[in-house]
Amino acid sequence: MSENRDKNVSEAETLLVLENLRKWYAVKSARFGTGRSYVKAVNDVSLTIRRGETLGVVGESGCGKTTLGRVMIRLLEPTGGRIEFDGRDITHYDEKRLRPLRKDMQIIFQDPYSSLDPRMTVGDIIAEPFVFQNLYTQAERREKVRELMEMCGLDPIYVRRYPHEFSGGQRQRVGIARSLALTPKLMVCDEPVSALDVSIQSQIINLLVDLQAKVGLTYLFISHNLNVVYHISNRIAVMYLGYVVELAGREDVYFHAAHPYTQALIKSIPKIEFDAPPLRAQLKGDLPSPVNLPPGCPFSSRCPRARRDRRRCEAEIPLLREISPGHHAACHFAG
Amino acid sequence: MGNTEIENAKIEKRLPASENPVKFTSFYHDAVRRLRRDKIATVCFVFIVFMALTALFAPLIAPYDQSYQDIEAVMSRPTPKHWLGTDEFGRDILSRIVYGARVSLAVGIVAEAIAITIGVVLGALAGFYGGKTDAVISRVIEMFAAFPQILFAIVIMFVFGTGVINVFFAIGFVGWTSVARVIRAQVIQLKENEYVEAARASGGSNLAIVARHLIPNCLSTIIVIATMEIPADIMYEASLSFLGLGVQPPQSSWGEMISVARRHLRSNPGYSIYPGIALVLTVLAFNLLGDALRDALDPKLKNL
Amino acid sequence: MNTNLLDVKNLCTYFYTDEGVVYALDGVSFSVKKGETLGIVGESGSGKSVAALSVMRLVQTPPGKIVSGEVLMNGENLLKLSGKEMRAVRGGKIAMIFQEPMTALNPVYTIGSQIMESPRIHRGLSRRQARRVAIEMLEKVGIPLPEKRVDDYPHQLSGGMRQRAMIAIALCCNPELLICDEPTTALDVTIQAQILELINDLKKEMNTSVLMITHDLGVVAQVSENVLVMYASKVMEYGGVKEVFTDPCHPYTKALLESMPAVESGRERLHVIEGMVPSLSNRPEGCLFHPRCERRMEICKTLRPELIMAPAGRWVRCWLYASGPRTLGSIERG
Repeated sequence: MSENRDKNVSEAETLLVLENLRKWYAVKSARFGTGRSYVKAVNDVSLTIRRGETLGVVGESGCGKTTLGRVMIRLLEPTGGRIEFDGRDITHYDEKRLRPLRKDMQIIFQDPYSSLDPRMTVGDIIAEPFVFQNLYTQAERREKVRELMEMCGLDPIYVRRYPHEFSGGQRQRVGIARSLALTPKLMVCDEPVSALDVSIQSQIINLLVDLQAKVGLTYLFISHNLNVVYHISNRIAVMYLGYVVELAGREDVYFHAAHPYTQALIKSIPKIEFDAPPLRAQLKGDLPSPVNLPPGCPFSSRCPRARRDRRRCEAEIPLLREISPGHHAACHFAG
Repeated sequence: MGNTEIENAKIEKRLPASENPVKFTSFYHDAVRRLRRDKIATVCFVFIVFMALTALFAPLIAPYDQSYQDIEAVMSRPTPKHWLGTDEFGRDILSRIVYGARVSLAVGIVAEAIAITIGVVLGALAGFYGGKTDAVISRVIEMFAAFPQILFAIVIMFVFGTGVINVFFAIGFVGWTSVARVIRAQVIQLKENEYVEAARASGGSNLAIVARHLIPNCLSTIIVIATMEIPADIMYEASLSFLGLGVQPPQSSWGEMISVARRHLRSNPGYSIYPGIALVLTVLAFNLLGDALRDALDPKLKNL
Repeated sequence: MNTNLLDVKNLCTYFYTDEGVVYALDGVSFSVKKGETLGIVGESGSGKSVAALSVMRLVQTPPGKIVSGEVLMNGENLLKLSGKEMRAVRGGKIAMIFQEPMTALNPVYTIGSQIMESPRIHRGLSRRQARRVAIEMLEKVGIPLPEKRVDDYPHQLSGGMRQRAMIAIALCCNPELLICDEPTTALDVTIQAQILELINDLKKEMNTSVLMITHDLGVVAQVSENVLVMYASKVMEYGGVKEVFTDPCHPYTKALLESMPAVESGRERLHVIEGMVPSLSNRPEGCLFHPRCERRMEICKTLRPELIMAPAGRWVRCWLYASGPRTLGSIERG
């Protein structure tokens, strides 16, 4: 059944195209007052998202996955590259032209505490997008809020309650209801279950899957938890230091990972298995600073494979290339 | 340190929204509940309300008009006729204190309202936009703050002339910087919240975000600043009037009374002591209430 | 002969707040053998961190209070010690590492001086000797260039390195028991793997017992011999980690394991535990888990089950096992 779902999606039209998307932040360098260096959060990311699919993005903290999600829906201004959403080039739209488009692109946040204004009732929070978009009368808004709350598994009698009276999972449902209010086409889910307990996590994941089927949403699902991403995605993009290092269908990424970083990531997950050899550290050292990226492959400083041809890995940035149909990897030695 | 579990236990306690229909509490309900348990705060609040009512109904409460002269009892000690005695023109001191409450409280409230309006707008702008806007506003704040405030108020009074209305503005103009600084810092913190980003993601303009989310979330801070700054403003008025730059006779204010009475300290000490007591008690009440409000509105001190 | 390093018996810790008594820890018992790791798993609000703080006697009083129970370490009841004696135990015999090393480390002191503090207090070393110990410890926990790093401040280290420094501080007095409260929750998976490997290696090398508190079942599976599953202040299941995770007895353990997104199963929908963790000041009647339990019976709604020895050779708090040797499977069939 899941195979079937994947097939339908692959034939669907594209909703979003990113070409060489780049987001750099200027920082003052400590030593030289005049010189500027950059935090390179997102580097030359090119990918497409098809209508109705879920594209998972995994990576460790500082890999640029959150920034990517925000630049994609133009909450942040890109430094370079191109964003095409629903056939329109929105790379340089200003706030005014973006406003009507905001209906089609929404975001769910990680932190169910900071994402809801503590001084507003749940009903006002969910209805807020209607206020900004000037939609519906008061009575219609009330009815819509009711529907949204029911759809997200919240009892509408709590419409006048305040966020602090709800648990983390329920608050996350409120956030989801708010994002759904404008019936978006694309939903960026930024670590939506990371702050929740295991038993609540599964409730929210199921809700997201159900809503996708019901409303026909397209998800960009960002998470550091590879198991969660695997569960919900059709395709997965693995990011490291702002680069997409591997992009493929979920089975390919999980079982036939071509990039050494993806392989290390998968082997590092503590599993509930007792026959397998015990967990060992896969990678030595830490993430290099995103201010001074190594000149070559971003992963070369920690890569076990780079020893084979150190000079090439440290000099030349490997491009994301197709190593088998639908399976892309950015490694000189992949495939 | 490792107290997350306790925190969680507390949070979970307030949660079971779906199971038992617990009491409907908002943030402010909670604050009021905690405030009412604080006995000192309650006493202060009652005292302030009492002073406000006194000021409001001064003509009904005061035994005499503030400018009525009892020629037969000039500089009298407290008598059954004049409970707190009379001044050098034979005016009833109790009546003048009651009427003086009008000026003192009005100065406190109106001047602080002016200070808060300017401070909140400029502070929110600086905090929200950052960059050059912030740099310009912050420099202006520093410039204002570098002057001794009372000197600044005196200059304004000299330029625009004496009178109650000018006292309002002079004190309001010197008081806004502290408000602006606090609001700026708080807005910088608040704008990092994801609900601000959520508002932007559904098309909220900057103005809408500031008005709907940032300023309401600063409200408790504003209330606290107001209660802490009102006594300072009352003192400023007293100082200005003491220097002869505030309200003009025959109108009375506590500061004006103390100023004049200073000359008669030996012959009639009560003349300066009674308005002084009124001033001290009012200022103290506002200060203590401000302290209590700060604690009551601080969610971190909850349940302690 | 009792070979247990730590025996916790019937420990109860309550918090007395305005809104009533919070039963954070209610009748918890467990034991840790020398050189063994016990994992304590549970969701937030299950009382797992309070358990650690109670063993260390670091529960904030008021509002918290250890109401009853015993914490026996080598047969000595820690709850009976004076404040001074307890301070000698903390950082000496028992050490603790926390979830967020940035808040547990003091930002104004160098890493070195924070490691040196405890050997100087507990072992009476001179400054120079302590510094040598600090460098040795940093080397042991895998921090490169320890002679240089010893003079670094916490903010100069990365998250993983900070956690290593925390471990160095904890281990520098050769504690018999190391309590780890969510030591890897704030870290990335690849760094988490490094830290878990480090804890495992050091445990073997120094023969330290470890109390590993975490919400991540995978972490527990990888590092512990025994596991304690906690729910709403009580122990639900307690036994060997392999047995508990491969053949869970308690319906809660079972549901918890099933609700994790597993790659092998590839299901479209995840198993869900309906509802949420009960409030610890207003707990349900009967079994604490019964409102969310799929296998609840009439008795579960009224009577609180005791922790009993199930036939599978482990402790379970569930009425399903109250009468005779039965397993979940046989009840389903019967």
